[in-house]
Order: sequence, then C-alpha cells, then structure tokens
Amino acid sequence: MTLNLATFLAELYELDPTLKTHEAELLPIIETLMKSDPAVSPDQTFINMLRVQLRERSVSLSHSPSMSLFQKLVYAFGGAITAAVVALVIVFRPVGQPSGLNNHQESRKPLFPPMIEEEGKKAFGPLTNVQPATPGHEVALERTQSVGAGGGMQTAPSPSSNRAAVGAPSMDAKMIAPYPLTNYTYVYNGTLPALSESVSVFKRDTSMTSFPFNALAGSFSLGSVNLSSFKGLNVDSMNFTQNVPFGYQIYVSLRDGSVGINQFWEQWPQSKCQTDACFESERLKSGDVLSDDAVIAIAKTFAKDHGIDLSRYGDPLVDSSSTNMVLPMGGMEAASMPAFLSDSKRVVFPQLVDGKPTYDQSGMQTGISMNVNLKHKRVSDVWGLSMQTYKKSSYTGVTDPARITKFISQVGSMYGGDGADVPNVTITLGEPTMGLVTYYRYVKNTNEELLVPSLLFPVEKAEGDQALYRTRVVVPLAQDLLDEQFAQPVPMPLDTSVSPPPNVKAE
Amino acid sequence: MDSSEHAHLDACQAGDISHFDALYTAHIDSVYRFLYRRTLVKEVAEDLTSITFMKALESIRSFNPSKGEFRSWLYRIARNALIDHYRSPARKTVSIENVWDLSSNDFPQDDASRSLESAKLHQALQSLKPLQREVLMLRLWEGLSYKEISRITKKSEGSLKVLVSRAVSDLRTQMPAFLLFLLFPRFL
Repeated sequence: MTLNLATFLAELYELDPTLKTHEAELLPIIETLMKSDPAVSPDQTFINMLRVQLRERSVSLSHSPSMSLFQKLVYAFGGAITAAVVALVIVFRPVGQPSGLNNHQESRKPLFPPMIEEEGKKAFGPLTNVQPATPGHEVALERTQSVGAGGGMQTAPSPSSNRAAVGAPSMDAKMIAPYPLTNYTYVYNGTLPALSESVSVFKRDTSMTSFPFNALAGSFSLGSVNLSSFKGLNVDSMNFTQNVPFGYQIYVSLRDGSVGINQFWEQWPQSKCQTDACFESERLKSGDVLSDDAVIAIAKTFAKDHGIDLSRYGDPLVDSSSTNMVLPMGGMEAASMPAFLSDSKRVVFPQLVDGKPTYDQSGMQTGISMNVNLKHKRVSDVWGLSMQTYKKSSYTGVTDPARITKFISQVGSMYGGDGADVPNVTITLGEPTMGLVTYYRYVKNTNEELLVPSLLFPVEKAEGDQALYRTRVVVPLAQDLLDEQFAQPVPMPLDTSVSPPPNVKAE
Repeated sequence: MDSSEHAHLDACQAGDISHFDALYTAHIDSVYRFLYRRTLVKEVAEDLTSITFMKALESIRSFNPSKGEFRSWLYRIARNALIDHYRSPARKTVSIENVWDLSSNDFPQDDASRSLESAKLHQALQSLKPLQREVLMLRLWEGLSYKEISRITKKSEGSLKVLVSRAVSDLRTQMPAFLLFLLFPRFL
C-alpha cells in the first residue's frame, strides 16, 4: 500500500471541507478499505518465466524479422523439437504454475535464449588449468609447402574440405615432408593501448543440458524395449533427417547447446551416381566456381530462410583456407591432369559476444561456418551454431605493459629448434586489437568454455618473407591466465658456451 | 519517474530494448497486483500480466514521455488487456467498469482459497458506481496520482477528484451497514 491515509484524507477535505466533520465515520471505512486490498505479489517462478519470454522477444524484436537462432531452428526443423520444447515446459512447470492463456507463449520459448548474466567478481574461480593452444601454430612453412595450409581463420573440419585434402594430386601420401626447424622471435615496436585494472571474462552457460525422457515417452513406443523402464533417462541430443532432395541432417545437442546441419548424403545428387558420365557431370568445372560475393549471398540466404540469427555475428568472410583450387606439382601448365577443384567454399560469420569478436587461441576468428556447394549453389554444411548464453564476471586485469612485451618475446620459443644450424627469423607484429579469446578448462568432468579479453597482435612481416600459419599473437589480459601462460614449460635453450662432457665426442 | 528509469526508457526507444529488463523488474509487481485485484484469479492475472508486458515491449517506441508517466502507460495497456479478456468470446460481454458486478459464478471454484473477505469485499464495492470504484481502487490500492489515473481513464483530474469524494460520501451515507460489513465481514 503506497498511499498514506492522512494524504488521502487531506485530498478529500481539500475538495469537500464538510467531510472533515465526518472524519470519525470516514476513518474506519477508508482504513479498512486500504487494508482490504486483495492483491498478492506474483510468485517468483512466474516472474522468472516471463522475464525469459521478454528477453527472447527482445532479441527477436532487435533484429526483426529474424528471431533467435535456436527459436528459428525450433520452428524450421520440425514439430518434433517443438513437441520436445513443449514437453520440456510441461515437465518443468513448477507446482502451482498456471496452465492458462500463456501456454502458447511458453511453447515458443527457446531452449537457449541468448543472454549475458552478470555475476560477482571472480565468479568462475581462478582462471587456471586452461588447455594451452594447439602446438604448431608458430611453425612456419616455406611457401612451396604451404599449399592448402591456409593462414586464414581456423574452423572446424568439413567433409568436403577433408575430401579435398585427401584427393589433392599435389601430395603423395608416401612422402614425408622435411620439417625445417626455425627459431622465431616476435617483436612489437608500437605502443600498447590503455590497460584496465579489471577485465570481464565470460563463461558459456551450459546449465540447460537435457530434459527427462518421460516428457517424450508417451508419444511413441519402440516396441522392442520399454525405454521408460530406465530410471533417470534424459534426452540430451536429437537427430533429424530431411528426407527430400537436397535435404539435411540436423543434430541438436542440448548438452552443449549446439546445432550441426549437414547435407543428407543420400539425398544429394552425387550419392546417386553409378556411372562415369554421372560422376563427370557432377564434377565441378572451372566455370562453376563462384565469386566470394556470390558464395556469401548464398550463405546469407540460407541463414535468412532458416531463421539463423546473424545479428550477433560480424560481416561474413570467405575462409581463404577453403581455397577452391589446388595446383598440381609443377603448376597448372605442367599438369597432365586437370587441377583439382574443391567443390565448396567456406563462409564464416565471426561471432560477437558483448559486441566484441571472438577468437580461438591461435587468433583465428570463431563463429558460424557454412560450406557452400559450388556446383549446386547451396549450403551443404553448417557448424558453429551454438547457444549464446554467457555468464560474465570481472577479474584482475594485466596493467604492466612490460609483462605483455615479455610474453610476446617468449611466444616463439616453445616450438623452435636449437643449435647453431637453426635459423632465426624475426616476426614483426602490428598494432593490437581487443577481442575475446576462447580458453577451455576441464572442471568437474566437464569442459568449460571461457572467453577472456585479450590483445591480438597481427603478424605483419616475417624476415625472409616466409608464409606463416599464425596470423595473430594472442596475449590474455586476465592476470591469472597470463601468469599461467608464463608458467608453461619452454625448451631449455642450448648453452653453446658450455663444453660437452669429456666422455662425449663431438661430431 | 527516476533518472535511471528515464535512461532505460531512452535506451529502449533508441533501439536497445535489452534495457526493458530493468523496466520489467521495476513494474512487474504493481502491474500484476493491478490485474489480480480486477480478476482475483491468479492464472488470469498472470496471463494478462504477460500480455501487458509483451505489448509494452513491442510498442515501447510509441511511448511518449511528454504525455505521462511510463507507469500509467503500462496500466493503460493492462487495462486494455483486461477489457479484451472480459470481452473475449468465451466470456459474456462486459465493460471493465462492471468487472466487479460479475456474479461470483464467474470465478472458478478452486479459487475459494482467496478467502471469504475478498468475495465480500467484492460484493461491498458493488455498491459503488463502476467508475467510482475503479478510481477509488487506483488511488487507494495502486497509489496512483490523480494525474496518472487521468491518463488511464481519460477523465480530467478535477472530475476524478470529485468522483472519489462522492464515492467516499456515498460509503459514509450507507453506514452503518457498510461499516459493519467491513469491520465484521465473516459474520455477514
């Protein structure tokens, strides 16, 4: 009750002073009326549920007509998921929860509403035990050996790109390429941006992992076994097949909130070929190769058609590592057979979290990848679709520029060689940008994904004009993490000033 | 309206509707109570609260701060949702002012736990004219200012004040029966 009794009476008397003479009669009436307010507060479960619905609606309104990625997938790929979602809502309806008018709204609630929830300081514990970057990113290859090695963004392997690598005529499977050892020294001569005393770290929220099988049990029976008899059975993934020409297989993992879309091989033309003529007709010709713009347009159309919300992703890029042509040994002119043409190009939509781009530990941008089949001008595979529900917590930031430059100087030491014969190459880094870099750590039998603010230094120039895998050097700005990265073991440098022991004969 | 609410509204109207969350937090309780008082059914109040906030979110850009408080704009939406609810084909046609004139059969039996007092209070307020009752509730229970009530009911502030004054006078003249009821509802 927000109104004061005296205030209310004063208002009355101001309007009709004669009422004051009846105050003794009025007081109990008004007082009792005020106390008789039948209203009760809404229960917390309802408040939370409506909040989720509003957030989901906010997302779809922000990027209308697109809806959230998972909501659209729920719609686009069938009633089964919808049924599961409805079942999920029913299963998790708390006791006493209404089953009235807002049921239809609940059935639309996405499983993974994109959101960022603020947590307290250091809410994810010490940022330690993270898995280090995959070794080898520092290794540079000679340009002639770098065909297909890329240098573009790192993405998950795709079926077609794998086939391209296996079938490339430029490689002999029996040949083992020489591995030239090189010492790399990374240097940055510019000034560093202002460093903050605290940084925001994000953790992917995977708390919504499964729902009880009983939610679906009534809708079908296997006949051969009663699945309901397995107590505690949960549904944590779903697989769907679109059994129509150019159909797809869709895998939904509730456990990690991800969706994978792949061509349903049986329904794509190449699978039906039984003759050379058919294979030949399906083979990509040089004239079939599409421009990057055309490939991006196809990917965008696919996203639009299937409601994949790209609002939290940056401008699409064509992954240069998915280059569609592999030259035979000796170049095109020397070829006795046609050059191999990859049948697809990969388009990547870089992910943005809290407005910042995300990267893997090698500095490659991460996001949604789409393989575009060049022959049929269709998207064949999509990966990197994952829920964007994060928790956010502040951590102590790195403020000492000297630590950053020292870290950079150590980056190349881990995988280089030693000895007098090993050449040294200096790599100059450009002005850094800020981004969120993905780190994984294994906690309580699960992999946790952390996004840590980091400086990303682009590789600008390498001595000798060498081609490099590495395109960026990553320096985490969370103090815990940088401390741990410093603590990574590095090879003991060979001290050439020390003579070999007397019993060892130098060669 | 405090400055933080202003800031959230500005952000929403500029297109960043993630700020709606803060507005929701600030007003969910009062909107729900407003609707509960007029339906006395928890499930219906929840449904109408959902509708109110969804509509507010969808049309937040049309909110004009120069025409009144955000709260009274929300109440206006809630009131319209209530009218739609009572005018739905599943219900008999009735105006919002007459909600309290509905027979007790309009409320589900399983809501008997809302207590005898609520039902009798409902009955007692029926003695007032519909608009008197509405304005009295908005002023006494919602704590809205006459300016805000004016925006919701589209009546002038002066006429609303007169309305309330007369409502109180009417209640007084109906004494002692009314007072007796209010003081000892369980025995009537």
